[in-house]
Amino acid sequence: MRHPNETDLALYAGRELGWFERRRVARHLTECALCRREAEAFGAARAELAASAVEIPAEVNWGRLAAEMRANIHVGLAAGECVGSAEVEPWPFFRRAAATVVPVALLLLAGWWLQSDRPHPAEMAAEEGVVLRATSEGIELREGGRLLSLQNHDSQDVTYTVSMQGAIRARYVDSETGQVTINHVYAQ
Amino acid sequence: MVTVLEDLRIAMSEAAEPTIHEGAERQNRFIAENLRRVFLMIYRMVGNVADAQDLTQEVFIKCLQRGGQLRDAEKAAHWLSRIATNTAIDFLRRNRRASFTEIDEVAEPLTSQFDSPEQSVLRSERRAYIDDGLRLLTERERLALLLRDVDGLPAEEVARQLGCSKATVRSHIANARIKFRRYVERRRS
Repeated sequence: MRHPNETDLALYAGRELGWFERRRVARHLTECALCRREAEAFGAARAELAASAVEIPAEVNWGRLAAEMRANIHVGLAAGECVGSAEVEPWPFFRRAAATVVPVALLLLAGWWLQSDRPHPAEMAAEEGVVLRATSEGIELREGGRLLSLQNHDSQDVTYTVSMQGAIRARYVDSETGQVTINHVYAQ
Repeated sequence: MVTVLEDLRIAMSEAAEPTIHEGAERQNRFIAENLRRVFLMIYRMVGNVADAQDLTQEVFIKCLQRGGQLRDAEKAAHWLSRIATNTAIDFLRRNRRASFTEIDEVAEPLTSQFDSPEQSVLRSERRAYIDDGLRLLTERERLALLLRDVDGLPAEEVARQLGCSKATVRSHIANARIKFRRYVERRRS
């Protein structure tokens, strides 16, 4: 006969074994008086511990201790109310409101800024210096109030190339001559 | 801990708004109904009266400060137990071990006004006998045993409160029962 080990019997006493293990140990206990006594001893020790747990320690005068604790709890609560009413109450509401309103306001502000009719960067630059611009008519060169334009309005399939050095190139087939024409304008 | 206190707040605010006087009355009743149970629960874990007294007061103040009005007393008592266990475990983690006070060391031994001297001696001996047995266990074994066998928490809940797996808790519980049972048998023989 294979006996359950001591750990299994200890866990059996508190019903912590799984269903299958519990059945196996229970079946064994019906046949084995030795193991049954062991399991009963675990049960008795558990009961003894649980029974002692409801007893107030012998050195304690419970009436006096309880009264002292009750008084201290009330003092603690009163002290907490003094601190809490000044600081704790208003802030959670304010923080929650601010956490909701601020992101919404930022979102609206960003939307307005992106949608607003602001001056085009090129136009802004025109007020400051030379501006080169490709239009549907051709290439424009502006400086202050003066304008120079190189037109290619009759031509189709014009390819514009813009370089970072401040130049625009228009490449197209001239409708009058049939020649491939390249206008390359540099701004200085 | 924050979650437990939040749940307690919800448990305590599920009915109509009482007057200040009714609120104070409920608060007093709540303390009276649970004080002994919570004190004993903490005392068994920390092992001495002075620390148990401080922690019990702390637990009630925490609960009542966050709980506001006491409406569902049963739920509130449940959360109170959880806060008590967590508070005691935190205390033991900070102090690393429980210190079981010897009865001889108590400066002013006090007896219950309802006990005869004989009853008092018997109670004292019995308490010391149980405390000696608990002292043989490691801190984790003692906590697991008390939470499971005395407070009646399921093993899963014990594992959650101790921050370990269910298998580890089962091992702690089994070891604790074996040690405690051997102690009981040794003392009887």
